[in-house]
Amino acid sequence: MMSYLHALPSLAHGLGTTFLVSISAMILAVGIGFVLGIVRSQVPRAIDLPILAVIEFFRGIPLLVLMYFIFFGLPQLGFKTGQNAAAIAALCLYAGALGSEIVRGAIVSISGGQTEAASALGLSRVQILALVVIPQALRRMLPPFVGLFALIVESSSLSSLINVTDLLQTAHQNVERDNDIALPVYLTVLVAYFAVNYPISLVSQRLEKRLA
Amino acid sequence: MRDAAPQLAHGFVLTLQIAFFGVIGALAVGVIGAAMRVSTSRAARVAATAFTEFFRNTPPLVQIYFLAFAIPKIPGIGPHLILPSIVAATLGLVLHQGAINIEILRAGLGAVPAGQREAAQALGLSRIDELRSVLVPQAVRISLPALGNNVISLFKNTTLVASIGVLDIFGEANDIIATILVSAELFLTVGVVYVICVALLGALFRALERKFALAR
Repeated sequence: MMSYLHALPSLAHGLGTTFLVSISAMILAVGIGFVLGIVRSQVPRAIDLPILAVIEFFRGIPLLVLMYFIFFGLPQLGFKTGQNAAAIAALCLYAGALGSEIVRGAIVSISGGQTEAASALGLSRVQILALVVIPQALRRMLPPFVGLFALIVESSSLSSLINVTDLLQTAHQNVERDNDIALPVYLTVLVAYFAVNYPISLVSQRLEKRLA
Repeated sequence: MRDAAPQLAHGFVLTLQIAFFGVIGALAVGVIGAAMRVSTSRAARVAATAFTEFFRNTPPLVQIYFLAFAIPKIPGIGPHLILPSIVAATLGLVLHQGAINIEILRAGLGAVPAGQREAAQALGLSRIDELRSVLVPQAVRISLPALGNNVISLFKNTTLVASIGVLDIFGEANDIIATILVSAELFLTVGVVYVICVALLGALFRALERKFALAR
């Protein structure tokens, strides 16, 4: 029991790393999502297709395989990455691919009549996008982006497998040291992830109802 | 790379087996859980909701670790609950993806127009007949795209089983790398295999959606 209590500060530290990795990946994913999503909503189909192929690749490849490729594979090709950077890179590529669909979907759902009205008023294409379409589309993007953050937090647990000392890896190390505390330690980890992700998914659902 | 092919193929067969049992298990969890969520018993509704929210909001990798490493440590009964790695891994996937299926099917049932239920009751159908002949067929159609996404997500998550030593295609790849070190091309190969499988699954579900689409 003492050993479990001793494990708690390190678990809290691990949770901090989980947040650091998740929030960094989320910021980058939002950036990637906006750039690709806006571009995809504006370009002709011939230019859109190769972008779509790349997005489908990052949506189709399992996150763990992508993470291992970046952490173990890329150094052989001359790109060395630390474990935290590799975890964040894999997470933001995966989540960015999903995010670009969120942004594109929201923009397309707003376009149509709004764009026609704005161009009738003499707004340029950039003005239409920046002043009319995107501000309205933001409301529709918010709930799925909050949901995406919950997915990132959940998926960040995979970074423990490339030795990022996140919550799960810290738990693993503590159990390696004293096998008898496996039950309380892993139970704590389950509850901690739930305590973080349940409120996030509640917020996402509430927003969806309110902004629908 | 060519030498690695038989070992990867062997792992791929195991991946398909885990995915198959995982999908069946998760669907069973989804159907039973969704039935509980719409049942008249409050206890059943609360239990199913708690199950859904807990397993949907915790990472499948942590669930797998819990089943494999923590359950055997439960005082008294724990030592009798030591699961083979492959069972613990598959069960972890079933719990997580099953919880998501419950939510999908419950939302599908909720999306069937109220008039359908009223019409079934006006015709004097029993609660069971109402569910079986009227509500469930429509709910499944509505839920099909989301169920398809969840099957794909389960398929991708089968890679997690390698983390507790199961030699699926990803585990075999790690095993090869531990001996001869060619990780870049090996992981890319495994990744491409998954991307192709995911594309095929996506096409399959779009075909199913078209086949079962309601006449409009």
